[in-house]
Amino acid sequence: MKLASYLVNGRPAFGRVEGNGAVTLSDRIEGRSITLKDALAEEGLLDELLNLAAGAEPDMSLDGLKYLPVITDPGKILCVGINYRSHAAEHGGAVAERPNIFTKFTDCLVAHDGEMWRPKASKQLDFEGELVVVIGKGGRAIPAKDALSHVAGYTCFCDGSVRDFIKVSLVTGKNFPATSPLGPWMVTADEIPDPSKLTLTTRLNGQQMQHSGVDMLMHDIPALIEYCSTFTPLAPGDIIATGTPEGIGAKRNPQVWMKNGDVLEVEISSIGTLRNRIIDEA
Amino acid sequence: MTATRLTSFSIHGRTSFGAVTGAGMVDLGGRLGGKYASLLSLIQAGEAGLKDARAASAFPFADYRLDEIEFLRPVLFPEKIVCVGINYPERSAEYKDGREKPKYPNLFVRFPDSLVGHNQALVRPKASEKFDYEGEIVLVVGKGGRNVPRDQALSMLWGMTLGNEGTLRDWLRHGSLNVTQGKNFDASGSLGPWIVPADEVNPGAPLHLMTRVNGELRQDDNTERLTWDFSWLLNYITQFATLKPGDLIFTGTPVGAGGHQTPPAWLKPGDVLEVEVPELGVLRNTVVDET
Repeated sequence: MKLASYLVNGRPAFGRVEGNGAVTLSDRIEGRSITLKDALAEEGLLDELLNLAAGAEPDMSLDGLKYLPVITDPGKILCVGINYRSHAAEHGGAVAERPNIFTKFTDCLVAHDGEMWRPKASKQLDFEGELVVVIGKGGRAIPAKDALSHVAGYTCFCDGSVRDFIKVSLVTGKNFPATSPLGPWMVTADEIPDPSKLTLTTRLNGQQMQHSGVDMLMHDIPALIEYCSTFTPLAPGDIIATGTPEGIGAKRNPQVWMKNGDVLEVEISSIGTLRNRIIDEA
Repeated sequence: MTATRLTSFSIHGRTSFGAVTGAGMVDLGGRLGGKYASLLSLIQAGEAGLKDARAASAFPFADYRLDEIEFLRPVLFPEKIVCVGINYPERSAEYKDGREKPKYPNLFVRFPDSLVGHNQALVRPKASEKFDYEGEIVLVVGKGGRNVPRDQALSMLWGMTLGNEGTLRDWLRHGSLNVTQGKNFDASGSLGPWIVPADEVNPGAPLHLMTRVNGELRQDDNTERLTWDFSWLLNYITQFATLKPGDLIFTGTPVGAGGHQTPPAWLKPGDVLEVEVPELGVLRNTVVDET
Protein backbone atom coordinates (compact mmCIF):
# COMPACT_ATOMS: atom_id res chain seq x y z
CA MET A 1 0.00 0.00 0.00
CA LYS A 2 1.18 3.49 -0.89
CA LEU A 3 0.23 6.36 1.43
CA ALA A 4 0.73 9.98 0.38
CA SER A 5 0.16 13.34 2.08
CA TYR A 6 -1.28 16.14 -0.04
CA LEU A 7 -3.55 19.16 -0.05
CA VAL A 8 -7.30 19.00 -0.60
CA ASN A 9 -8.81 22.47 -1.07
CA GLY A 10 -5.74 23.96 0.56
CA ARG A 11 -6.00 21.74 3.65
CA PRO A 12 -3.55 18.96 4.59
CA ALA A 13 -4.83 15.46 3.93
CA PHE A 14 -3.51 12.00 3.30
CA GLY A 15 -4.72 9.00 1.40
CA ARG A 16 -4.05 5.71 -0.28
CA VAL A 17 -2.58 5.86 -3.76
CA GLU A 18 -4.42 3.65 -6.27
CA GLY A 19 -3.39 3.68 -9.90
CA ASN A 20 -3.36 7.28 -11.01
CA GLY A 21 -5.46 8.52 -8.12
CA ALA A 22 -5.74 8.69 -4.36
CA VAL A 23 -8.48 7.71 -1.96
CA THR A 24 -8.46 10.34 0.77
CA LEU A 25 -8.49 8.79 4.24
CA SER A 26 -7.85 11.75 6.55
CA ASP A 27 -11.45 13.03 6.58
CA ARG A 28 -13.30 9.75 7.10
CA ILE A 29 -14.11 10.45 10.75
CA GLU A 30 -16.45 13.37 11.13
CA GLY A 31 -14.94 16.33 12.95
CA ARG A 32 -11.39 15.04 12.75
CA SER A 33 -8.57 16.05 10.48
CA ILE A 34 -6.06 13.24 10.73
CA THR A 35 -2.46 13.36 9.52
CA LEU A 36 -0.52 10.30 8.43
CA LYS A 37 1.55 10.67 11.59
CA ASP A 38 -1.66 10.61 13.70
CA ALA A 39 -2.82 7.52 11.84
CA LEU A 40 0.45 5.76 12.60
CA ALA A 41 0.48 6.87 16.24
CA GLU A 42 -3.04 5.93 17.25
CA GLU A 43 -3.51 2.20 17.60
CA GLY A 44 -5.95 0.84 15.04
CA LEU A 45 -6.72 4.22 13.48
CA LEU A 46 -5.20 3.53 10.07
CA ASP A 47 -7.11 0.24 9.79
CA GLU A 48 -10.31 2.01 10.82
CA LEU A 49 -9.81 4.66 8.13
CA LEU A 50 -9.07 1.99 5.52
CA ASN A 51 -12.27 0.13 6.52
CA LEU A 52 -14.32 3.32 6.31
CA ALA A 53 -12.91 3.88 2.82
CA ALA A 54 -13.33 0.28 1.67
CA GLY A 55 -14.54 0.16 -1.92
CA ALA A 56 -14.24 3.92 -2.40
CA GLU A 57 -13.10 5.19 -5.78
CA PRO A 58 -10.14 7.61 -5.88
CA ASP A 59 -11.35 11.14 -5.15
CA MET A 60 -8.09 12.82 -6.19
CA SER A 61 -6.09 12.46 -9.39
CA LEU A 62 -2.31 12.22 -9.08
CA ASP A 63 -2.07 14.62 -12.03
CA GLY A 64 -1.76 18.07 -10.56
CA LEU A 65 -1.94 16.72 -6.99
CA LYS A 66 -0.32 19.16 -4.54
CA TYR A 67 1.82 16.76 -2.54
CA LEU A 68 3.08 17.42 0.97
CA PRO A 69 6.16 15.80 2.53
CA VAL A 70 4.98 12.23 3.26
CA ILE A 71 5.20 12.92 6.98
CA THR A 72 4.48 16.61 7.31
CA ASP A 73 5.53 17.01 10.92
CA PRO A 74 7.95 14.28 12.02
CA GLY A 75 8.93 14.60 15.67
CA LYS A 76 12.49 13.64 14.79
CA ILE A 77 14.44 13.62 11.55
CA LEU A 78 17.55 11.52 12.10
CA CYS A 79 20.06 11.28 9.27
CA VAL A 80 23.07 9.05 8.83
CA GLY A 81 26.23 10.46 7.24
CA ILE A 82 28.59 8.30 5.17
CA ASN A 83 26.83 4.95 5.41
CA TYR A 84 27.47 3.33 2.02
CA ARG A 85 30.80 1.61 1.52
CA SER A 86 31.19 3.40 -1.81
CA HIS A 87 30.53 6.85 -0.31
CA ALA A 88 32.98 6.17 2.52
CA ALA A 89 35.63 5.37 -0.08
CA GLU A 90 34.80 8.63 -1.85
CA HIS A 91 35.60 10.42 1.41
CA GLY A 92 38.83 8.44 1.74
CA GLY A 93 37.54 6.96 4.98
CA ALA A 94 37.47 3.50 6.39
CA VAL A 95 34.31 1.73 7.56
CA ALA A 96 33.09 3.55 10.65
CA GLU A 97 32.49 1.44 13.73
CA ARG A 98 29.41 3.47 14.57
CA PRO A 99 27.09 5.57 12.43
CA ASN A 100 27.42 9.33 12.13
CA ILE A 101 24.06 10.75 13.16
CA PHE A 102 22.87 14.28 12.50
CA THR A 103 19.44 15.91 12.46
CA LYS A 104 17.33 18.16 10.30
CA PHE A 105 14.65 20.69 11.12
CA THR A 106 11.13 20.06 9.80
CA ASP A 107 11.25 23.18 7.63
CA CYS A 108 14.03 21.59 5.58
CA LEU A 109 11.46 19.22 4.08
CA VAL A 110 10.04 19.69 0.59
CA ALA A 111 7.14 17.80 -1.02
CA HIS A 112 7.33 15.70 -4.18
CA ASP A 113 7.02 18.07 -7.17
CA GLY A 114 7.82 20.97 -4.82
CA GLU A 115 10.62 23.46 -5.26
CA MET A 116 13.97 22.84 -3.67
CA TRP A 117 15.66 26.12 -2.71
CA ARG A 118 19.21 26.92 -3.65
CA PRO A 119 20.13 29.32 -0.84
CA LYS A 120 21.41 32.83 -1.37
CA ALA A 121 24.27 32.20 1.02
CA SER A 122 26.00 29.56 -1.14
CA LYS A 123 26.39 28.19 -4.64
CA GLN A 124 27.26 24.70 -3.42
CA LEU A 125 23.86 22.98 -3.17
CA ASP A 126 24.42 19.25 -3.59
CA PHE A 127 22.18 16.16 -3.73
CA GLU A 128 22.31 12.98 -1.65
CA GLY A 129 19.68 10.44 -2.73
CA GLU A 130 18.59 8.26 0.20
CA LEU A 131 16.16 5.64 1.40
CA VAL A 132 14.08 6.83 4.37
CA VAL A 133 12.58 4.63 7.06
CA VAL A 134 9.32 5.84 8.62
CA ILE A 135 8.82 4.63 12.19
CA GLY A 136 5.43 3.09 12.90
CA LYS A 137 5.86 1.81 16.44
CA GLY A 138 7.93 3.86 18.86
CA GLY A 139 10.36 2.63 21.46
CA ARG A 140 13.62 2.97 23.31
CA ALA A 141 16.52 0.50 23.17
CA ILE A 142 14.91 -1.51 20.37
CA PRO A 143 17.00 -4.63 19.65
CA ALA A 144 18.10 -5.01 16.00
CA LYS A 145 16.30 -8.34 15.71
CA ASP A 146 12.94 -6.64 16.44
CA ALA A 147 13.70 -3.41 14.62
CA LEU A 148 11.90 -4.00 11.31
CA SER A 149 8.64 -4.56 13.21
CA HIS A 150 8.88 -0.89 14.27
CA VAL A 151 8.94 0.31 10.64
CA ALA A 152 5.71 1.63 9.11
CA GLY A 153 7.16 2.04 5.64
CA TYR A 154 9.79 3.38 3.29
CA THR A 155 10.10 6.42 1.06
CA CYS A 156 12.61 8.43 -1.00
CA PHE A 157 14.58 11.40 0.23
CA CYS A 158 17.21 13.85 -0.87
CA ASP A 159 19.48 14.97 1.94
CA GLY A 160 20.11 18.42 0.43
CA SER A 161 23.57 19.58 1.46
CA VAL A 162 25.23 22.99 1.27
CA ARG A 163 28.83 21.89 1.00
CA ASP A 164 30.79 25.00 1.95
CA PHE A 165 28.74 25.40 5.15
CA ILE A 166 29.24 21.70 5.98
CA LYS A 167 33.00 22.22 6.08
CA VAL A 168 32.45 24.45 9.11
CA SER A 169 29.64 22.62 10.86
CA LEU A 170 27.51 19.76 9.58
CA VAL A 171 24.37 21.16 11.21
CA THR A 172 24.42 24.41 9.25
CA GLY A 173 24.96 22.92 5.80
CA LYS A 174 22.32 20.23 6.34
CA ASN A 175 19.61 22.56 7.63
CA PHE A 176 18.90 25.22 5.05
CA PRO A 177 15.14 25.54 4.62
CA ALA A 178 13.43 23.69 1.76
CA THR A 179 16.50 21.74 0.71
CA SER A 180 15.35 18.18 1.48
CA PRO A 181 12.53 16.54 -0.53
CA LEU A 182 10.65 13.60 1.01
CA GLY A 183 8.21 11.44 -0.96
CA PRO A 184 6.34 10.94 -3.17
CA TRP A 185 4.65 8.40 -0.89
CA MET A 186 5.40 5.85 1.77
CA VAL A 187 5.21 2.18 0.75
CA THR A 188 4.12 0.17 3.76
CA ALA A 189 6.61 -2.27 5.24
CA ASP A 190 4.48 -5.36 4.47
CA GLU A 191 5.33 -4.82 0.79
CA ILE A 192 9.06 -4.48 1.47
CA PRO A 193 9.99 -7.36 3.79
CA ASP A 194 13.72 -6.91 3.10
CA PRO A 195 14.74 -3.27 2.46
CA SER A 196 18.33 -4.31 1.70
CA LYS A 197 17.06 -5.64 -1.64
CA LEU A 198 16.04 -2.16 -2.82
CA THR A 199 18.02 -0.21 -5.43
CA LEU A 200 18.49 3.53 -5.30
CA THR A 201 19.16 5.81 -8.29
CA THR A 202 19.66 9.58 -8.32
CA ARG A 203 19.36 11.53 -11.57
CA LEU A 204 20.09 15.19 -12.24
CA ASN A 205 18.43 16.53 -15.41
CA GLY A 206 17.93 12.94 -16.51
CA GLN A 207 21.57 11.94 -16.09
CA GLN A 208 22.31 9.16 -13.61
CA MET A 209 24.50 10.44 -10.74
CA GLN A 210 24.10 7.76 -8.06
CA HIS A 211 23.15 4.10 -8.34
CA SER A 212 23.49 1.50 -5.61
CA GLY A 213 21.85 -1.40 -3.90
CA VAL A 214 20.74 -0.69 -0.35
CA ASP A 215 22.68 -3.85 0.60
CA MET A 216 25.80 -1.63 0.43
CA LEU A 217 24.83 0.03 3.74
CA MET A 218 27.55 -0.34 6.38
CA HIS A 219 25.05 0.08 9.21
CA ASP A 220 21.89 -1.61 8.00
CA ILE A 221 18.37 -0.53 8.93
CA PRO A 222 17.95 -2.80 11.98
CA ALA A 223 21.35 -1.62 13.28
CA LEU A 224 20.40 2.03 12.77
CA ILE A 225 17.10 1.63 14.62
CA GLU A 226 18.85 -0.13 17.49
CA TYR A 227 21.57 2.52 17.68
CA CYS A 228 19.30 5.57 17.43
CA SER A 229 16.83 4.21 19.96
CA THR A 230 19.69 3.64 22.40
CA PHE A 231 20.09 7.38 22.88
CA THR A 232 16.70 8.80 21.93
CA PRO A 233 13.14 7.46 22.07
CA LEU A 234 11.64 6.84 18.63
CA ALA A 235 7.99 7.67 18.00
CA PRO A 236 5.51 6.99 15.19
CA GLY A 237 6.20 9.31 12.27
CA ASP A 238 9.87 9.81 13.11
CA ILE A 239 12.08 9.34 10.08
CA ILE A 240 15.56 7.96 9.64
CA ALA A 241 17.43 8.83 6.44
CA THR A 242 19.82 5.95 5.92
CA GLY A 243 22.71 7.59 4.05
CA THR A 244 23.78 8.14 0.46
CA PRO A 245 25.93 6.13 -1.99
CA GLU A 246 28.84 7.46 -4.06
CA GLY A 247 28.37 9.97 -6.84
CA ILE A 248 27.55 13.24 -5.04
CA GLY A 249 28.25 16.45 -6.96
CA ALA A 250 31.08 17.60 -4.69
CA LYS A 251 33.21 14.53 -5.43
CA ARG A 252 32.94 14.80 -9.23
CA ASN A 253 35.56 16.25 -11.49
CA PRO A 254 34.56 18.91 -12.31
CA GLN A 255 32.28 19.39 -9.32
CA VAL A 256 28.53 19.56 -10.03
CA TRP A 257 26.37 22.02 -8.08
CA MET A 258 22.63 22.18 -8.56
CA LYS A 259 21.30 25.41 -10.02
CA ASN A 260 18.06 27.18 -10.82
CA GLY A 261 15.90 25.08 -13.17
CA ASP A 262 17.66 21.74 -12.59
CA VAL A 263 15.46 18.70 -12.07
CA LEU A 264 16.46 16.16 -9.43
CA GLU A 265 15.04 12.65 -9.21
CA VAL A 266 15.55 10.03 -6.53
CA GLU A 267 14.15 6.67 -7.58
CA ILE A 268 13.99 3.58 -5.39
CA SER A 269 12.80 0.23 -6.69
CA SER A 270 9.42 -0.89 -5.31
CA ILE A 271 8.77 2.68 -4.08
CA GLY A 272 8.79 5.20 -6.92
CA THR A 273 10.42 8.44 -8.04
CA LEU A 274 10.72 11.62 -6.02
CA ARG A 275 11.05 14.55 -8.46
CA ASN A 276 11.89 18.17 -7.66
CA ARG A 277 12.92 21.33 -9.42
CA ILE A 278 15.63 23.58 -8.03
CA ILE A 279 14.92 27.30 -7.79
CA ASP A 280 16.94 30.19 -6.43
CA GLU A 281 15.79 31.24 -2.97
CA ALA A 282 13.71 34.41 -3.32
CA MET B 1 10.89 44.22 42.18
CA THR B 2 11.25 40.57 41.25
CA ALA B 3 11.66 39.85 37.58
CA THR B 4 8.83 38.23 35.64
CA ARG B 5 9.57 34.49 35.62
CA LEU B 6 7.58 32.30 33.26
CA THR B 7 7.64 28.54 32.80
CA SER B 8 5.59 25.47 31.96
CA PHE B 9 4.62 23.17 34.82
CA SER B 10 2.36 20.27 35.67
CA ILE B 11 -0.05 19.90 38.54
CA HIS B 12 -1.97 16.68 39.31
CA GLY B 13 -1.11 15.39 35.85
CA ARG B 14 -2.35 18.51 34.05
CA THR B 15 0.12 20.60 32.03
CA SER B 16 -0.09 24.38 32.18
CA PHE B 17 2.20 27.39 32.29
CA GLY B 18 2.54 30.24 34.66
CA ALA B 19 4.48 32.92 36.45
CA VAL B 20 6.64 32.21 39.49
CA THR B 21 6.07 35.01 41.99
CA GLY B 22 7.02 35.50 45.62
CA ALA B 23 3.73 33.80 46.53
CA GLY B 24 4.13 30.68 44.38
CA MET B 25 2.94 29.61 40.95
CA VAL B 26 0.38 31.77 39.19
CA ASP B 27 -1.44 29.50 36.72
CA LEU B 28 -1.56 31.67 33.62
CA GLY B 29 -2.97 28.86 31.50
CA GLY B 30 -6.04 28.96 33.74
CA ARG B 31 -6.16 32.68 34.52
CA LEU B 32 -5.95 33.69 30.89
CA GLY B 33 -8.90 31.42 30.23
CA GLY B 34 -7.16 29.22 27.71
CA LYS B 35 -6.43 32.21 25.47
CA TYR B 36 -2.95 30.71 25.04
CA ALA B 37 -2.65 26.94 24.77
CA SER B 38 0.93 26.94 26.04
CA LEU B 39 3.79 29.24 26.93
CA LEU B 40 4.93 28.79 23.33
CA SER B 41 1.65 30.23 22.03
CA LEU B 42 1.96 33.13 24.48
CA ILE B 43 5.47 33.78 23.13
CA GLN B 44 4.10 33.59 19.60
CA ALA B 45 1.61 36.34 20.51
CA GLY B 46 4.53 38.76 21.02
CA GLU B 47 4.16 41.85 23.20
CA ALA B 48 0.43 41.29 23.70
CA GLY B 49 1.15 37.89 25.25
CA LEU B 50 3.74 39.27 27.63
CA LYS B 51 1.41 42.10 28.60
CA ASP B 52 -1.37 39.59 29.37
CA ALA B 53 1.05 37.49 31.43
CA ARG B 54 2.18 40.46 33.49
CA ALA B 55 -1.33 41.74 34.07
CA ALA B 56 -2.61 38.32 35.14
CA SER B 57 0.27 37.71 37.56
CA ALA B 58 0.21 41.14 39.23
CA PHE B 59 -1.60 39.87 42.31
CA PRO B 60 -0.14 39.19 45.76
CA PHE B 61 -1.46 35.61 45.76
CA ALA B 62 -0.75 32.52 43.69
CA ASP B 63 -2.65 29.42 42.61
CA TYR B 64 -0.19 26.77 43.76
CA ARG B 65 2.71 26.41 46.14
CA LEU B 66 5.99 25.69 44.35
CA ASP B 67 6.31 22.37 46.24
CA GLU B 68 2.98 21.21 44.77
CA ILE B 69 3.87 21.66 41.14
CA GLU B 70 6.40 19.98 38.88
CA PHE B 71 8.53 22.33 36.82
CA LEU B 72 8.70 21.40 33.13
CA ARG B 73 10.90 22.74 30.34
CA PRO B 74 9.72 26.36 29.99
CA VAL B 75 9.16 25.85 26.26
CA LEU B 76 7.91 22.28 25.92
CA PHE B 77 8.26 21.76 22.19
CA PRO B 78 10.28 24.46 20.46
CA GLU B 79 10.66 23.94 16.74
CA LYS B 80 14.43 24.44 16.88
CA ILE B 81 17.02 23.96 19.60
CA VAL B 82 20.40 25.10 18.29
CA CYS B 83 23.44 24.60 20.52
CA VAL B 84 26.88 26.17 20.31
CA GLY B 85 30.00 24.15 21.10
CA ILE B 86 33.10 25.84 22.50
CA ASN B 87 32.31 29.51 23.11
CA TYR B 88 34.39 30.77 26.07
CA PRO B 89 38.18 31.21 26.11
CA GLU B 90 40.60 28.47 27.21
CA ARG B 91 38.11 25.78 26.23
CA SER B 92 39.99 24.76 23.11
CA ALA B 93 43.10 24.44 25.26
CA GLU B 94 41.10 22.29 27.68
CA TYR B 95 40.06 20.01 24.85
CA LYS B 96 43.73 19.62 23.80
CA ASP B 97 42.65 18.86 20.25
CA GLY B 98 45.22 21.15 18.72
CA ARG B 99 42.63 23.31 17.02
CA GLU B 100 43.41 26.96 16.39
CA LYS B 101 40.74 29.34 17.57
CA PRO B 102 38.13 28.58 14.90
CA LYS B 103 36.55 31.24 12.71
CA TYR B 104 33.05 29.84 13.09
CA PRO B 105 31.33 28.07 15.96
CA ASN B 106 30.52 24.39 15.97
CA LEU B 107 26.76 23.97 16.12
CA PHE B 108 24.54 21.03 16.87
CA VAL B 109 20.89 20.38 17.59
CA ARG B 110 19.07 18.77 20.48
CA PHE B 111 15.67 17.11 20.66
CA PRO B 112 13.26 18.55 23.24
CA ASP B 113 13.00 15.24 25.08
CA SER B 114 16.74 15.29 25.78
CA LEU B 115 15.96 18.12 28.25
CA VAL B 116 14.11 18.01 31.57
CA GLY B 117 12.76 20.95 33.58
CA HIS B 118 14.00 22.46 36.85
CA ASN B 119 14.11 19.92 39.72
CA GLN B 120 13.31 17.01 37.39
CA ALA B 121 15.74 14.11 37.42
CA LEU B 122 18.72 14.06 35.07
CA VAL B 123 19.04 10.49 33.83
CA ARG B 124 22.44 8.81 33.60
CA PRO B 125 21.85 6.22 30.85
CA LYS B 126 22.74 2.56 31.03
CA ALA B 127 24.75 3.00 27.84
CA SER B 128 27.52 5.12 29.42
CA GLU B 129 28.97 6.35 32.72
CA LYS B 130 30.73 9.33 31.15
CA PHE B 131 27.90 11.66 32.05
CA ASP B 132 28.90 15.30 32.07
CA TYR B 133 27.38 18.76 32.54
CA GLU B 134 27.76 22.01 30.62
CA GLY B 135 26.18 25.09 32.21
CA GLU B 136 24.92 27.61 29.66
CA ILE B 137 22.79 30.67 29.07
CA VAL B 138 19.89 29.92 26.72
CA LEU B 139 18.31 32.52 24.45
CA VAL B 140 14.57 32.33 23.76
CA VAL B 141 13.55 33.76 20.39
CA GLY B 142 10.53 36.07 20.36
CA LYS B 143 10.51 37.53 16.87
CA GLY B 144 11.46 35.08 14.16
CA GLY B 145 13.54 35.89 11.14
CA ARG B 146 16.06 34.98 8.51
CA ASN B 147 19.26 36.90 7.73
CA VAL B 148 18.82 39.20 10.73
CA PRO B 149 21.58 41.86 10.87
CA ARG B 150 23.74 41.81 13.97
CA ASP B 151 22.66 45.28 15.12
CA GLN B 152 19.01 44.13 15.17
CA ALA B 153 19.60 40.63 16.46
CA LEU B 154 19.08 41.17 20.19
CA SER B 155 15.66 42.68 19.50
CA MET B 156 14.61 39.18 18.31
CA LEU B 157 14.88 37.87 21.85
CA TRP B 158 11.86 37.19 24.00
CA GLY B 159 13.93 36.29 27.00
CA MET B 160 16.66 34.18 28.52
CA THR B 161 16.86 31.07 30.65
CA LEU B 162 19.51 28.59 31.81
CA GLY B 163 20.50 25.23 30.47
CA ASN B 164 22.58 22.23 31.33
CA GLU B 165 23.75 20.77 28.08
CA GLY B 166 24.16 17.25 29.48
CA THR B 167 26.62 15.17 27.49
CA LEU B 168 27.74 11.55 27.25
CA ARG B 169 31.41 12.13 26.46
CA ASP B 170 32.20 8.76 24.91
CA TRP B 171 29.11 8.85 22.67
CA LEU B 172 30.21 12.31 21.54
CA ARG B 173 33.05 10.66 19.68
CA HIS B 174 31.02 7.95 17.92
CA GLY B 175 30.54 10.04 14.82
CA SER B 176 33.57 11.60 13.21
CA LEU B 177 31.47 14.42 11.75
CA ASN B 178 29.35 15.60 14.62
CA VAL B 179 28.17 15.09 18.17
CA THR B 180 24.42 14.38 17.82
CA GLN B 181 24.18 11.15 19.75
CA GLY B 182 26.23 12.16 22.81
CA LYS B 183 24.17 15.35 23.09
CA ASN B 184 20.74 13.78 22.74
CA PHE B 185 20.33 11.11 25.37
CA ASP B 186 16.82 11.14 26.73
CA ALA B 187 16.52 13.41 29.82
CA SER B 188 20.28 14.02 29.92
CA GLY B 189 20.12 17.84 30.00
CA SER B 190 17.95 20.47 31.60
CA LEU B 191 16.31 23.81 30.87
CA GLY B 192 14.89 26.42 33.23
CA PRO B 193 13.96 27.16 35.93
CA TRP B 194 12.01 29.84 34.03
CA ILE B 195 12.35 32.47 31.33
CA VAL B 196 13.08 36.07 32.29
CA PRO B 197 11.86 38.44 29.54
CA ALA B 198 14.52 40.33 27.62
CA ASP B 199 13.15 43.72 28.65
CA GLU B 200 14.00 42.88 32.27
CA VAL B 201 17.52 41.48 31.79
CA ASN B 202 19.67 43.09 29.12
CA PRO B 203 21.08 40.27 26.95
CA GLY B 204 23.87 42.62 25.84
CA ALA B 205 25.12 43.29 29.39
CA PRO B 206 27.76 41.08 31.09
CA LEU B 207 26.22 38.05 32.82
CA HIS B 208 28.04 35.92 35.38
CA LEU B 209 27.55 32.20 34.67
CA MET B 210 28.33 29.55 37.31
CA THR B 211 27.92 25.77 37.49
CA ARG B 212 28.15 23.84 40.76
CA VAL B 213 28.17 20.12 41.48
CA ASN B 214 27.17 19.25 45.06
CA GLY B 215 27.88 22.88 45.96
CA GLU B 216 31.40 22.90 44.48
CA LEU B 217 32.00 25.62 41.88
CA ARG B 218 33.11 23.95 38.64
CA GLN B 219 32.41 26.56 35.94
CA ASP B 220 32.73 30.30 36.48
CA ASP B 221 32.80 32.79 33.61
CA ASN B 222 31.20 35.91 32.20
CA THR B 223 29.45 36.59 28.89
CA GLU B 224 31.87 39.53 28.37
CA ARG B 225 34.33 36.80 27.37
CA LEU B 226 32.15 34.96 24.84
CA THR B 227 34.04 34.12 21.66
CA TRP B 228 30.85 34.68 19.62
CA ASP B 229 28.45 36.97 21.43
CA PHE B 230 24.66 36.63 21.33
CA SER B 231 24.10 39.08 18.48
CA TRP B 232 26.79 37.40 16.36
CA LEU B 233 25.24 33.97 16.96
CA LEU B 234 21.73 35.10 16.05
CA ASN B 235 22.97 36.71 12.85
CA TYR B 236 24.99 33.62 11.96
CA ILE B 237 22.26 31.08 12.68
CA THR B 238 19.69 33.06 10.69
CA GLN B 239 22.02 32.92 7.69
CA PHE B 240 21.13 29.24 7.31
CA ALA B 241 17.92 28.72 9.31
CA THR B 242 14.69 30.59 9.89
CA LEU B 243 14.34 31.19 13.61
CA LYS B 244 10.80 31.23 14.97
CA PRO B 245 9.17 32.35 18.24
CA GLY B 246 10.06 29.94 21.03
CA ASP B 247 13.20 28.59 19.38
CA LEU B 248 16.12 28.13 21.77
CA ILE B 249 19.82 28.89 21.40
CA PHE B 250 22.19 27.24 23.89
CA THR B 251 25.06 29.73 23.78
CA GLY B 252 28.01 27.55 24.80
CA THR B 253 29.76 26.61 28.03
CA PRO B 254 32.88 27.80 29.89
CA VAL B 255 35.85 25.61 30.90
CA GLY B 256 35.44 23.29 33.86
CA ALA B 257 33.26 20.43 32.63
CA GLY B 258 33.71 17.20 34.63
CA GLY B 259 35.35 15.26 31.81
CA HIS B 260 38.23 17.72 31.75
CA GLN B 261 39.05 17.49 35.47
CA THR B 262 41.95 15.31 36.60
CA PRO B 263 40.83 12.65 37.25
CA PRO B 264 37.56 13.07 35.30
CA ALA B 265 34.61 13.82 37.58
CA TRP B 266 31.57 12.20 35.93
CA LEU B 267 28.10 12.85 37.28
CA LYS B 268 26.71 9.98 39.33
CA PRO B 269 23.36 9.19 40.95
CA GLY B 270 22.55 11.58 43.80
CA ASP B 271 24.74 14.41 42.51
CA VAL B 272 23.09 17.82 42.54
CA LEU B 273 23.84 20.08 39.62
CA GLU B 274 23.21 23.82 39.70
CA VAL B 275 23.54 26.35 36.91
CA GLU B 276 23.24 29.97 37.99
CA VAL B 277 23.19 33.46 36.57
CA PRO B 278 22.14 35.83 39.39
CA GLU B 279 19.74 37.79 37.16
CA LEU B 280 18.13 34.59 35.81
CA GLY B 281 18.02 32.26 38.81
CA VAL B 282 19.31 28.79 39.66
CA LEU B 283 18.53 25.70 37.59
CA ARG B 284 18.86 22.69 39.91
CA ASN B 285 18.69 18.99 39.04
CA THR B 286 19.57 15.72 40.72
CA VAL B 287 21.10 12.80 38.86
CA VAL B 288 19.45 9.36 38.84
CA ASP B 289 20.29 6.12 37.05
CA GLU B 290 18.18 5.00 34.13
CA THR B 291 15.84 2.28 35.33
